[in-house]
Amino acid sequence: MSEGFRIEPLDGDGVRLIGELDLASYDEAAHQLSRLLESDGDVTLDISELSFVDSSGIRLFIRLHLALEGRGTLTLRSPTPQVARILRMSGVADVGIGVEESGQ
Amino acid sequence: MSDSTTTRTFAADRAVLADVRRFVAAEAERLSFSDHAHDLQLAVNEACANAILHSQTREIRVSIGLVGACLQIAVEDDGIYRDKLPVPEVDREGHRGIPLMAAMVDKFTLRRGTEERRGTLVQFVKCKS
Repeated sequence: MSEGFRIEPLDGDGVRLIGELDLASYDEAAHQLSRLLESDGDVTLDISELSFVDSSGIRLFIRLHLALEGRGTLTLRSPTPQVARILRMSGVADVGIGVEESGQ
Repeated sequence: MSDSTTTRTFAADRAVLADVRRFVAAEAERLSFSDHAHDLQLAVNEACANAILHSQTREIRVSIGLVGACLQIAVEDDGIYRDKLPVPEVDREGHRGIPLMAAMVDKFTLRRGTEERRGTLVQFVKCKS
């Protein structure tokens, strides 16, 4: 995995994505996040410490969402304003992914 | 471009993308475009990712300089441009790279490398708003 990206479990449910999610970190991120799909239900990713996302990261979020279809919802929680803007421009909400910005 | 231009060559490997972004941020700062550093990083990142994934080039050259009051960036490889039109019904997940990079800048041009004339050139212009 690229040294600039990692995934940590949260105390409650879900995980936190930290650092830069790009083509270099895509495979390892996809591998780790696929484990979250093993249990039924909603998946929440805390992305408050995700400092950069590119189109590979967007593709990963959409793949997770498609893999969940019918069994739960993918929610991306607390993006930074910059990442929130990229998520909006990429239309992830249009495919059914929840984006919870801070303060909502 | 002008005397202000800096060029750096990167291996066409996904592991270099973080270095590419650092280079773009440093150049944006040097040329007083720090406010646009993220957008420029993302645009160049996408151009390089396309080259790495699809062009079979060995290296990628990134040049950044000023043209008048605007920043001009060139991303050039020695490969062949392979594009495929997205089919929305079967491909909901991909093909966001080019629209995303185009949205990050004021002007975006693409010269495709072909079998006869290898080398794809992507150029961005970003002006202070």
